[in-house]
Amino acid sequence: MIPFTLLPGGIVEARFADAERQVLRSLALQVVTLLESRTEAQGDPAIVRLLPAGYREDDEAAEEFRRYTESELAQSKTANARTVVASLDSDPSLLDAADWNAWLRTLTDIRLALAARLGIEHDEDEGDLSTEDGRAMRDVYDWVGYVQEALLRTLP
Amino acid sequence: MTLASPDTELESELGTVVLPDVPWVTIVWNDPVNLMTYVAWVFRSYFGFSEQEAHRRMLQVHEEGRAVVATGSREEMERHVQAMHEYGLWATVQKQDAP
Repeated sequence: MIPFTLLPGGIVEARFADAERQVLRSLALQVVTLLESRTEAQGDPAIVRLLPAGYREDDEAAEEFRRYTESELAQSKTANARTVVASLDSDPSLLDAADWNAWLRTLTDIRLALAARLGIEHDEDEGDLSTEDGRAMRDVYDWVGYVQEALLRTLP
Repeated sequence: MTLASPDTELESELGTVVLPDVPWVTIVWNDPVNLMTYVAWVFRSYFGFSEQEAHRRMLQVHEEGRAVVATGSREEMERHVQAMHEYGLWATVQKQDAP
């Protein structure tokens, strides 16, 4: 069940079913699209989660910090997501340290964006499960968490 | 009287130089998304905390809603905050004595 295996040399082998591979690929690409649309999508809760404020009580400092760091942050998140997409092109995927570092971050970004869509804001929130889409999204959210946990357990 | 003003200025400038800087801190905030194992892993791999220390600070974030993970200059703290945001954790910079 654990999709990851640690190989000699610290390489992590990832094996997914085709459908899983496609879901991960699509979610990673959605992170890229979301970040690319960040200027138009300001205030979108998913963007707020991915690119949060660096100061909590000082709006001016927060704005200045954002001005200097946001574009680099978005670029780094986009690059990580593209790394995930590229490694999903081969089956099984072989992940070196740079790859699995990108994977861990992108899996987080995917969950942050899904949580925003589901309306998960506090520890006990389950998200909006009133629709079939909501329930399906929650399943994906939990599964991505499972994948991340499995990867963490596999790391050298 | 005319000399008083420059003297005071000089004194306050020296004061600024001599007094230690008020340190800044990096705070990581609790969020409902990040897995506890991931937060501990980030603390270990980025800040170089021992497994035990990383676990302790992760629990502090989870239970108290926040934890100070670094103290130092403002620039240094801003670099840490940016790194935390790259990991997908929510972190902020503030002065050590701020509420």
